[in-house]
Amino acid sequence: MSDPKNNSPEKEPQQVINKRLFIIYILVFVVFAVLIGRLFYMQIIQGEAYSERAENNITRTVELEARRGVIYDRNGNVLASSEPYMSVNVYMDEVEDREALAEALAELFNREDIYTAEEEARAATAVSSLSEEIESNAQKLAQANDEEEGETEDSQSDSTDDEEESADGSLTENDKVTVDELKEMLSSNVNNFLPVTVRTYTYDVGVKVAQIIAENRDLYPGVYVAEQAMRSYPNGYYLGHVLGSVGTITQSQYDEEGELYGYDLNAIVGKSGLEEYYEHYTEDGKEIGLRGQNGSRTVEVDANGNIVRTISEEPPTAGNSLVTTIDLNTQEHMEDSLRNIVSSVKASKPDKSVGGSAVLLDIKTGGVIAMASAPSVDPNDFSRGLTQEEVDYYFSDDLKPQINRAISSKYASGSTFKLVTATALLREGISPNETVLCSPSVWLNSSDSLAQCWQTGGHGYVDLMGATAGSCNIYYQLMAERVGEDAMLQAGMDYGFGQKTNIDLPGEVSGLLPTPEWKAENRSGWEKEWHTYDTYYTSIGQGATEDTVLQLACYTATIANRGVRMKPYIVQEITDDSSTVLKSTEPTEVIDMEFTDETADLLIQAMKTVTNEGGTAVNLFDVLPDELRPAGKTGTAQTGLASDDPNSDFHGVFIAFAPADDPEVAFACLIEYGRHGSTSAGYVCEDTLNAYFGYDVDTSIIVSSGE
Amino acid sequence: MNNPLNIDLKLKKRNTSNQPNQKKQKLTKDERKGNRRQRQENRISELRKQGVFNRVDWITLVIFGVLLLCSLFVLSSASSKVIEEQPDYYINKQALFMVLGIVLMAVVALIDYRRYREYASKGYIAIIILLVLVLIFGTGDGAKRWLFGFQPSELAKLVMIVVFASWLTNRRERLKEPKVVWQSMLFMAVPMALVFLEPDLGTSLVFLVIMLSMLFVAGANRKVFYGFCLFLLAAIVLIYVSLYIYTDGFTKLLEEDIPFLPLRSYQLMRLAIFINPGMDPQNSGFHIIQSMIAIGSGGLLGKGYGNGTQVQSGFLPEHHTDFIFSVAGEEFGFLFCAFVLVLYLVFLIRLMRTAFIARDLFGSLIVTGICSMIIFQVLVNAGMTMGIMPVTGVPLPFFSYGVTSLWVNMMSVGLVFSISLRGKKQK
Repeated sequence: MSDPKNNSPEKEPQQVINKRLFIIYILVFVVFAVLIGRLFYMQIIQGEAYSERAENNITRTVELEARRGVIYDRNGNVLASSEPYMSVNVYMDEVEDREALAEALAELFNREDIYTAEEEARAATAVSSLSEEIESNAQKLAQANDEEEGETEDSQSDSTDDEEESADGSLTENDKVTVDELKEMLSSNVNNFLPVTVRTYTYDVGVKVAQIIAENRDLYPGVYVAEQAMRSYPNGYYLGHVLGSVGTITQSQYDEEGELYGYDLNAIVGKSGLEEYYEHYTEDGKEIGLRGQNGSRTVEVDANGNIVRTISEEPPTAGNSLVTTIDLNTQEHMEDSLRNIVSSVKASKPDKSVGGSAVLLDIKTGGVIAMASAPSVDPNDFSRGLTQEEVDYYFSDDLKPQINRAISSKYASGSTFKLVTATALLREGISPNETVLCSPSVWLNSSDSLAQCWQTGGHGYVDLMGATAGSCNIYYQLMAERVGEDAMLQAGMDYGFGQKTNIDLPGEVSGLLPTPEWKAENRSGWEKEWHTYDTYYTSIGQGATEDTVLQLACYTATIANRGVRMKPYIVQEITDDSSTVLKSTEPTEVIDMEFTDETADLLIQAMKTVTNEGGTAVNLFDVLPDELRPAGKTGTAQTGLASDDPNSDFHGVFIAFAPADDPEVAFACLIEYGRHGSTSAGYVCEDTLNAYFGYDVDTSIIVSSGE
Repeated sequence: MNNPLNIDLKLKKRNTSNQPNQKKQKLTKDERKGNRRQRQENRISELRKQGVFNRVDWITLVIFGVLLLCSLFVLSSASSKVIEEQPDYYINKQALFMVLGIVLMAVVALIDYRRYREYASKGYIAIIILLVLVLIFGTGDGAKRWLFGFQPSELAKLVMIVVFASWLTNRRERLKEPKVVWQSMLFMAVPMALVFLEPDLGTSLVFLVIMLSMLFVAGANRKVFYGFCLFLLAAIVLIYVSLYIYTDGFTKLLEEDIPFLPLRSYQLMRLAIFINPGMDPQNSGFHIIQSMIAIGSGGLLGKGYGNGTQVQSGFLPEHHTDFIFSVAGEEFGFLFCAFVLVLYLVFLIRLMRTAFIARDLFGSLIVTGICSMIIFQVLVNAGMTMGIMPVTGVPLPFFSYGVTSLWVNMMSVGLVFSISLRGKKQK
């Protein structure tokens, strides 16, 4: 095809070829000009920006979570603390093959050799059997409230199965993770910058898992094990409403407070109760709340996320601890009793959502010794994240278990309100010995819609003592009419009705003490004006009156404290890491009603009649010795709900203080649909006082109530 | 390496047959030795007669030497952590290959390039066979590029430059005829297509550039030449327009091949990622982003030998082969990289000078092909690491670790020297 010897002269002169070569020559210059120009642009002009990106590439800032403060009761029992645990997190932006990772993780999580026998036992009680605990708790709660019987049975059988398995020493069904579940978890992530937590372990097991992951980095791209603290409430649902719970910050709260308090999007914050109220409690411009201050550690990592070295570290500041006025023993007995009563009431009223609440106050200081609300809340459930079953329970629209009924629910308080009226008439100088006739002829002939007395046939002629002992409606209504609504309402306001007590808990409501001004503003037509029947109804705690159980307790304490009303509170002290007291609560007097000794004695005397021979609560307190016996007042209040029958649906209310002769504590309790105060709320009082005074008896007696 | 050695052997045979006056009877060992020495002396004296040794371009050689030293310097840092226990593994191997490469280069330089014209058609057939073999028996992850430890496509570039130069020289009077230009293109298209099928888009583009530059210098019909260039431009535009449509404006990953385009989806993805590396931050896009961060963060003076946080901490996996320029950028900075690029430029300019002084069109065309091959590879590789060229897997000549590419490039330089040694006298 070619002849190498062919060297015939070229047709084209060399110059033409040279010209074309020269064009190529220029192209070479252009190419290198572009390359060097680009290099100059990147390294000199944009060099700073790229350096920053390189820096970000290799540094990771790990937040060091501040340990949240501990909450104690008055005797140093731990009510809430933060337990370290390990969570396995996946950063999705580093994951290429989700399926492979899900398989690798499933295999790791289902390995049994990461647990030693000892740890397994611990794991069974701590983290790995969390769901078990949740279920059994839910079951207890459900039993207590007798909710949805079918479901109760299901969860019961489930949890017994699990217990059997964990007793074998193998992983429980709850611990097994399938590849599909993991895949779902991994793909559920909407925000690539936040890690997905796929598993949690107790600290010791977590350390082992972290080691396995570190040794097999290529198998687990983007997987990191982080030490975290889980809020734990060792007493379960006891005091659940007061303690409140913690959870991940909401978007709106983050938007509002994120910058101010340095929260990140994953921050765990107090959601309710003391956890919320004392989250970042500030005094004298200094934050002394539970949460503390997070620290951070900046580390250098390689492309696989292995830590090369630590660059800087700012240690976290632990949160401060709370010492409360709560007495855990009394609290537990009060709550058990409350739950028992509520469940028995529920048994008789299966179509109603039944709840209740009780409060025990120190009358001298206003410190809360016990505060319970039913149905229960176990804040541990929120720390761990709720299961569907728990979501259904906690967010039930009828039951509303999350509401602290002692401060956030308001009710007509019924006859327990009568002592307000008694106070008014004593203040106005009406003799306690004046009598009023209580008989059907009086209420049937009344032109002013006088509410009839509950006692068929009436009480006959009664004075203050008799009317209080027998809870006579007619005496109080007519006496209220005589002293006038202003005197009565003034007494009610002095006792704190219609106002918040300003206890250190979130979500308190003020209730309602209806006044002529209130009626004028909120009612229309004929109802705009105050009428005699308003005085009647208000005097016996019916009508528009709405009080919280805490208000009732404060009111009782004020009577016992001879007219001096103290502000209720729960946190006695805030202490720092080294137990130095940062803040100590001084009891605060809200008002001194300046009772004469006679007034004070008479009111106490009137309440004594209730718990003694001839009183409505004589059936109670037979365990307590005479010197500790309380004085009290029962109440049977119309629920005022349209769906309820006004002749059979009553809330049972009971207030008391003890010992009657030298008062220490004041009590208030309301059982929804409990009907008679003495046979529902009264039992809670009895159990609470027994526990408080150290006369513990079996509190599991089931009381059959009403019909 | 089979083929150039073959050529070499054949040349030796030819040399012997060229001396028919040699005695054919049995010779003693000493005599045979003596004969061999005699022949060598003959050949060297022949070269001396041609004035070859006076023409050695020492300046170019020194520049080339500095370039090679720079390359070893960068590679020794870049490869120090590839095998944890043996930090010297790659640098030792590459240095050894380089020494052997210099010998190869010298051998090629000493052989008269004009003799290759005779073997052009055999070389063409051999290359086609090799490329077909690699398609059948080739190995490599994803693409079939390797045959017994070397890459035939690398060798094919050099052989095809020589073969095509010969083809064009034979047809230089008829290159104004469109038909001849089309035939020439078809002639190059066969090996190019075989390389493309491996698949190796980058190397086949090198073939395309070689073909265009040689056709241009040889004086191909302008209408056909520029028409073809326009067609290529249109093809690129078409590819990017369809990519724009199929990836939602370079935001979504391509899930399947685009109909009527002869490129696979992963190749198209690489072309698309170059427009927006952020669209696939986990694969090729990740490499581009990391490489740009590495180079950009190097600044004026770099972070120092072995101190590149990007390249040494594993953010750039291919940093001793395809992404070696990123190492240079991050660790040694702008001054060093610009120096290396200027070295390349001066070296290539000096090589290109050979095209002007070559004794014949054949030589000029070979120089043109070789220079455009090296320039294009530098542009594509360095451009890729700086995010102005798509990722195509083309190594950086003389810098990237890899024996085939190193030897082929050094033999190319040797070939240019062979031409310059026999070129026209300079002023």
